[in-house]
Amino acid sequence: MLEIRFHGYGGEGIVTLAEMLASAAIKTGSQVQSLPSFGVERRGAPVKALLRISDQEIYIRSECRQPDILVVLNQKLLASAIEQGIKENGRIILNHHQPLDCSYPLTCIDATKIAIDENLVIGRVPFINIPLMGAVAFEIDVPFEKLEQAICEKWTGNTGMRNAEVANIGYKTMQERRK
Amino acid sequence: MEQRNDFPSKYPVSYPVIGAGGDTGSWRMFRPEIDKDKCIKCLFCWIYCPDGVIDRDNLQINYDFCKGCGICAKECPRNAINMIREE
Amino acid sequence: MKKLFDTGCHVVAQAVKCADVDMVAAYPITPQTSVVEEIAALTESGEMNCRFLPVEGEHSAMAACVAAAAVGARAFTATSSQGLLYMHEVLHMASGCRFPLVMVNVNRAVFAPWTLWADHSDSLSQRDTGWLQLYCCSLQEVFNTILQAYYIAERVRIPVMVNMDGFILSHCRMIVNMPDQEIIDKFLQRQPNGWIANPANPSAYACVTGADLYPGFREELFNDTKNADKIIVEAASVYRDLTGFWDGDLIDTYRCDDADTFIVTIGSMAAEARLSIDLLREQGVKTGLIKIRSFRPFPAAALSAVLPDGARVMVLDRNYGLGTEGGIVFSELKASLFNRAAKIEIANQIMGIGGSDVNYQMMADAVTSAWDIRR
Repeated sequence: MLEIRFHGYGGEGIVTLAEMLASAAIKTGSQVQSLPSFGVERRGAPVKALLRISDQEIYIRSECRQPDILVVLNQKLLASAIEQGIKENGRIILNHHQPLDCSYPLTCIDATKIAIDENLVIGRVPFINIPLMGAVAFEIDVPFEKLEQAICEKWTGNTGMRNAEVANIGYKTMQERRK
Repeated sequence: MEQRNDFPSKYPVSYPVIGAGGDTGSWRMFRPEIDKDKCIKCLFCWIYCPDGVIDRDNLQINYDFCKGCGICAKECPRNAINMIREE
Repeated sequence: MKKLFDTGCHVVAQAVKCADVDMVAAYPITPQTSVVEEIAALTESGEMNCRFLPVEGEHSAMAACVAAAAVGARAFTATSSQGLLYMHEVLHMASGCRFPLVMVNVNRAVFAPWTLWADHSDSLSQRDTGWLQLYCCSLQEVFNTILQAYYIAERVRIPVMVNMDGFILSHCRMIVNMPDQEIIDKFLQRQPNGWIANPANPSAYACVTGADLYPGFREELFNDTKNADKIIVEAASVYRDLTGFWDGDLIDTYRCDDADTFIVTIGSMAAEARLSIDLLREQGVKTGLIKIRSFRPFPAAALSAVLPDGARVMVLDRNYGLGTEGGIVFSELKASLFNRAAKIEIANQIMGIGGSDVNYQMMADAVTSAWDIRR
């Protein structure tokens, strides 16, 4: 079983991020479970979500304390995210503009820049979860076309196409990093 | 309350039937009697009777169930109903 | 078969839609809120052919469901915690009137102090209202159990409460396989009504009864509630024959065949407890899991049949039986096994109160520490 825990601020879209990755993983035949943090929901407060992917039925119902992958949407949350637990050989994907030193293998993806460059912004808020969908999908070996299908089922028409394009940039960025 | 056998006894259902409340005529101390000469058939007594014992068509009182409450006599606009003490 | 990947609350709404419910009256309360939102949306869009009645509180929600059942409609409501407690007197009315209602209760701990997270003190405090109570540990089971609840309620003429843990199940997304509608329709064929209000043949219902009539009605309810176990078993087996799904009937067991030590629990803990069993077995403890699916009626005979003489039983309670020596499930289990108590050791651990995290390690530890089992 693969476990991923997401950390972000309320409104950054980690619940949708976990949901879309789960939908994509289902299309590969996996069993999945996704769960937002149990909290009083407030925009701007630190929130977390978890995603479990397995080839067998998932019986676990408890919190995710030892994830294989931590996905952190903001560098300010990194220390607290690590403190809340990660597997010994776990790895981290962080939305950040430059490499950072970390006690765990850490990959930085500038999802904020991708979202702004691609004009995926409403109000002043860039949709950083969309490029990260692609990046994490690559990291967990979910083929991009499965994610694309999931995205186009969630958002119909042009919105879905645009989101899929930007997710693809995230996917390819991660692919580059892993070469 | 009449027990019908339409339903198993687990259903607490009851149907309206004459005399569901028992032999209430025996409770009566005073008996209403309608003076047919004064009566203008306004049906106030019929409408006010809480026990529905006055027949709408011929204004006969069913003394088997009339409790003698006197509401009909109080409400009659022509004072056509007298309350007679039961012997 | 259609595959659904959605939150527990939305799965409830889909099950209600599949059950061809005629009327839903509900009032939103965390963590049940999106059940109500989804049903309101499905009825508004016409996707669900059902009357949705927004009411001003849970007391009215249950009263409206009682009224709907009184004219023969298939009715549904959902609530949680304080909402369930606010319904309390009408719960008695629904069962006393023998109306086949189904309600989903999203388990949430009770006030005070305020909290939003899961434990079973809300539903277990309603255990003597005459409602049957079923507990689920996965979203597939929630879906299956709502359909089975109508099957049961309409045959025994007693309302059924389907319980699922707040957030842990209600807000979790899992895959649910929905059987084809024709199969569900076949499973949930409308049953002949019991008493229903009929202006052509006026009747009074549940009016004042004296000591001559009242005890008879209560005795019928007592016996029928106890004997509902047969219909619960039937519902599970007919459902399995039609759909292939099985979540257990009164109970469900896991690796019990050669076990001498048992974990007994209800709700979502019963899913994760499977991992505790695997862990304990790896350590050489012959452990089995009993999930209590039907808390009302309490499956005394089924439990006794699984437990061998000399069994060690750890009851994991997500509630406090205030004023007793432990949890409510623990008390019930002990009472039901009293006549063979000398041969069975029963221990209790309370955990997961107010949504506190329970993992399989903690459940396994409860077993090993109770009997000082060295690993």
